[in-house]
Amino acid sequence: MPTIVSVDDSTVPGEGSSRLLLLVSSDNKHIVVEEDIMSRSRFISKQVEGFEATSQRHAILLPFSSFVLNKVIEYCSHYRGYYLLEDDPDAAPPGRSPVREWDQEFLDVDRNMLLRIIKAAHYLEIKSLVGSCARAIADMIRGKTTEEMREILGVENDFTPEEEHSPSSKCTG
Amino acid sequence: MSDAENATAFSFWSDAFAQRLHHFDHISPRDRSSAATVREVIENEVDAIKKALLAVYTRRNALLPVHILPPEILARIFQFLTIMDQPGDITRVKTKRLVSLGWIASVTHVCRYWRQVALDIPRLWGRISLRLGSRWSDEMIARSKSAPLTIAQSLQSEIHGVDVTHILPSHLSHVGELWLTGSLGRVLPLLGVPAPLLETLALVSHHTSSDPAPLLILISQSHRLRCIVLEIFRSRGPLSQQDISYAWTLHISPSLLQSRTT
Repeated sequence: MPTIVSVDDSTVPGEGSSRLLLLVSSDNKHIVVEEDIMSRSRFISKQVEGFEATSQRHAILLPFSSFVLNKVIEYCSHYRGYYLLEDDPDAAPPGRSPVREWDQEFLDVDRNMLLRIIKAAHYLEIKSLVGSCARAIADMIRGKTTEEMREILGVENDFTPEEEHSPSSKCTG
Repeated sequence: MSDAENATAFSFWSDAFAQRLHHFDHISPRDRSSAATVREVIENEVDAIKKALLAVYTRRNALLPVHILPPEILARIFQFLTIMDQPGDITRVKTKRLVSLGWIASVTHVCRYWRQVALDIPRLWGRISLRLGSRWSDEMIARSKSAPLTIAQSLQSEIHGVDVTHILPSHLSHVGELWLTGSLGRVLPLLGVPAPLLETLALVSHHTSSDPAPLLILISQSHRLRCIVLEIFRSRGPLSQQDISYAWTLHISPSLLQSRTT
């Protein structure tokens, strides 16, 4: 369950069609954003439904930094009003469809930032952003040797010699 | 970690090792038999230390940003890799022919956590890599469990790896996507059975004289089919204008298929 805190109406203004949400990041930054923009997030939509049921307005506390949250808001703002097939709960994960050019530029960030964004997108249940990040990470990894991969990811080899050769040892013909 | 902490850690592990072996301190190298026994004991201790060290690495890895990704996110990343980095590229090193494991190596050779996640996702293994040979195709089919298989092969005269005709008879009922190009003569007779999981069928052949009846059975009885691409020229020699008139090309979209069934 997400943590929520009550806020008064002066903190979160807005009634009617252009309601505003107050999102609070882990570094305690308060970010006001239009509800429409964040409707791509199933997590936020469920929170808002909860507010309507109780007639109470709340700030939504999120477990990631304002820097990451602002990136996610930027993504949601860009696609505001667009239907993206990947956000359809019944859609199969896209495999061969081309990567959107804007997404490619948007995700041209360092490795750790990319990992933070995908985690935030997963938490907020934004399937299209999870998919774009996953593709960007896959792109970063593909074609690399095991040693290069370990170096990129900072991972130590933790296989025993027996595990190292099974189940995926090299095939020669 | 400070120098003092480093020194404490070193002292702790050195003492632990010394304690394990202190009752051998009096053994002289001249006592050959006892020395050999002690050497063996020490080898065993070193092996144990190495194993324990791997467990420490696993703990260290678990704290890395890339390891805090939950399995469902890794599954999405790995799924893209199965398409981007397909196994089967061949390189020659001296007299040896090496076949690249593609995504399998990228994912399962890195660390224990990634390997375990990959092994726990049957659909990753459903894209069967026939070029890796029968050991791998059997292994991938087993790991895919009940996930639909994707089989793609170019049926040239010289086939590297497993011939698709060895796989289809026992696994067509389990196939979700079938992509074949080239000479379909040996394949078409195998297709006359229902494939309940088949969603995509793509067959491209410029020279086949086989009876298309099994294909029609497959199409009519595979009720999940929603994408069919058939480009088949019936020909016995070089293509002529007449051959082209016999060609049939069929692309069926989901909406067309829906109208067929309603």
